Amino acid sequence: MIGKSVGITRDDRFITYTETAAEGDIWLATLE
Amino acid sequence: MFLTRDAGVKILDFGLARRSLGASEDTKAPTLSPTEPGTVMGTVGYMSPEQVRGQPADHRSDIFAFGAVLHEMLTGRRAFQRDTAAETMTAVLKEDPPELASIAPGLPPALERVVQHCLEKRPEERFQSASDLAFDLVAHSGSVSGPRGAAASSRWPGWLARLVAALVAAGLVFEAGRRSGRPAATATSTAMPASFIAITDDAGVESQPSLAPDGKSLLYVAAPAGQNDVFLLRVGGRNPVNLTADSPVDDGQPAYSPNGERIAFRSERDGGGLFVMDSTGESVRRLTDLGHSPCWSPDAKEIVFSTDGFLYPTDLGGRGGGLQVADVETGKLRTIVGGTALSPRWSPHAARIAYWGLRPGSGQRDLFTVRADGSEATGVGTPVIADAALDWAPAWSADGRFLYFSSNRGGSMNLWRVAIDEASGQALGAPEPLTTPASWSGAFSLSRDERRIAFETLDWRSTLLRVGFDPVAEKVVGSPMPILRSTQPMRDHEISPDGEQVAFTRAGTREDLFVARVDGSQFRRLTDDAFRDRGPAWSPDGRRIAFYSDRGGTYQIWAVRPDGSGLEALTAIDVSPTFPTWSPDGRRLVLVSNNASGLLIEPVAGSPTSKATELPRPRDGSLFWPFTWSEVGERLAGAVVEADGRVSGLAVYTFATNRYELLGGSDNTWFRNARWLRDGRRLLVRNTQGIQLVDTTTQRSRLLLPVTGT
Repeated sequence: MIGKSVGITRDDRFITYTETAAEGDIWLATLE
Repeated sequence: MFLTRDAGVKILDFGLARRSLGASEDTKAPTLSPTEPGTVMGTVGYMSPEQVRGQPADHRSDIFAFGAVLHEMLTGRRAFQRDTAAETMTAVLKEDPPELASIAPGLPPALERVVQHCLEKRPEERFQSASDLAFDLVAHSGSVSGPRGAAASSRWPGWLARLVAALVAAGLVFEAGRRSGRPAATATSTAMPASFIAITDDAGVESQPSLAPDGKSLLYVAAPAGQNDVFLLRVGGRNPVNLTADSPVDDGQPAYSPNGERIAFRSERDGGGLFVMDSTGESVRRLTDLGHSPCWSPDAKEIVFSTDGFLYPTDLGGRGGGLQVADVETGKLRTIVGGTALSPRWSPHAARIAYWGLRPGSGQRDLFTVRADGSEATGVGTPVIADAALDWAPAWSADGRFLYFSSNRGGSMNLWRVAIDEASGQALGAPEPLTTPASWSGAFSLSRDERRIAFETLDWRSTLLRVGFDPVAEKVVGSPMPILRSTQPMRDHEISPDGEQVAFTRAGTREDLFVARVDGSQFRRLTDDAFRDRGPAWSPDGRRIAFYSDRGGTYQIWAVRPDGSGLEALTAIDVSPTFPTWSPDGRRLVLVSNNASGLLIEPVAGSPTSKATELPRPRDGSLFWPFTWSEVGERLAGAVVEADGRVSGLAVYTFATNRYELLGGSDNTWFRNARWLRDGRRLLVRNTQGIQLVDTTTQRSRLLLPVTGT
């Protein structure tokens, strides 16, 4: 899934992870 | 705008600028009043941020445009020059223009400040009137000097003063025009001129629009209360009506019937499936117990749907179903096409169905059409476009002469169309762009008269974070700290063996491979093309990064050095391997496949290998997708995928016994979400709640760190 990965350093001392958010709107195009 | 030989400034051509035609004037097109909020008008590159957003524009937008022109005259370069209109508009919204001094050394700092003041993103932070701007500019133009020498000093003030006179006069005309109510509009510089309105602007994501055939109302999906519901909004209105408010589960993917009186939609209620309701949200009834993305036949007697769904076009798993058609009255089903097929759209004269499918033998998804009577049911449809770009979200024009779609072929995810023969499905020309003012737009829905197109836009915010961990106390230490931020979603990542670097892929529009140091510095792109590059995995010696890519036509495993050199294919296997994981000694890789249960390979320097050993299957019909290899090499952990494509949970495979231990956890439904700790006993697992710590011996699991997000 987009933006939901996890990792860990080889010494187990740090966890890494992604945090993803989206903003979405609906638009209307009027062709001339 | 011309600079004459005698250093005069003349506006010879207003270019795209023209009088806007009001409703009472000589046009049949339903154009919008140029001063109506939500309308985007202007020449790309000179538009102000508020114009790009379709917000109300006033004389301060002219001041922004003036700043853009002045920047260009002083440096010879446009302030927001990009390859495409969409990218230019994104730059106008989000990026600062390059500093004048970096392009044209010697300009006085005061002049740079004038330009910057004109180009502020927020109107209230710019000069508030043309007279203020003129005063400031004339005052500073008298001080122009510097390494250009005396000749330059004497020449610059002259043309600058004339420019000020010409543009301020023009600006005052615009201001006077606005005050008197006269429209002063321009059109967009796209292949098909259009105006744009942002119909929704609530927090969160509003998506999946379906425009009523008359173009006067719109269905869309939003989750203001945490679950998806279908909303009805009158175009131009401000009060959406929740049509599925009585449903306690997710509802979405609405589709108006051809006469606009009924709505088909996907709902998770009672086990999930497709449902039909009146356009008021009443009289809900079940149509099927499966299906996504419903689309009505032109006679409204049938509904075509895909058996599988997706959320974002760069976020597909390995699954994919075919297309089926349901009889609206009886619910009887028939199959249209097998394989991977999504987003079906019935052509206006009923002959064909367009869909987003998978090109046979490759990882390339593209647009296809298939006969609606099912006579091509055993095969794959007719390709509309066959190239490396990501093309998806098909939508027919009402006359069947064009297929509109979303594509990243122009650099951003934007609106395109291609002329098509509806009867045969053959493209009749090259795709042409209809640029929208968004960096990501898709899921198009057209009104019957083709004058209106509703679409969804997306803005991503993705952050890679690092947090301390105490493996003995089994708890996180300190607060998470951001390493990298991106306006494109970061899809997969892995820390280098020395802990100093991170490799990751970004999705959203294009999928490329990147490396950066864990402090966020030395950010570099390792691949830069239209191919899909995913699943980076550092070799144990840190010298290579394996990943999977369709750059050779089918998905195969590739490797590249962290500096971007040495790109080579590691595999030539016919089951489209993905997501490589190195063995701890670096001699082998284990791979994921939709057609095999974990593949072991031994990469050979200089030659892609075609030899792979399949791991045992966890049970009949199921596959094992390995994600992580334990430190001493004796165990793999990954997901079990059932015959129907459903991920049933995590499992651990032990080489010595050749057996699987099933751990459960059916919400672990995405790739690469598990990592071994050094002890080879505990796993970190990312699931819908956040990051879990799973003890594979006791099968005890607990939440280490909650993580929210899309």
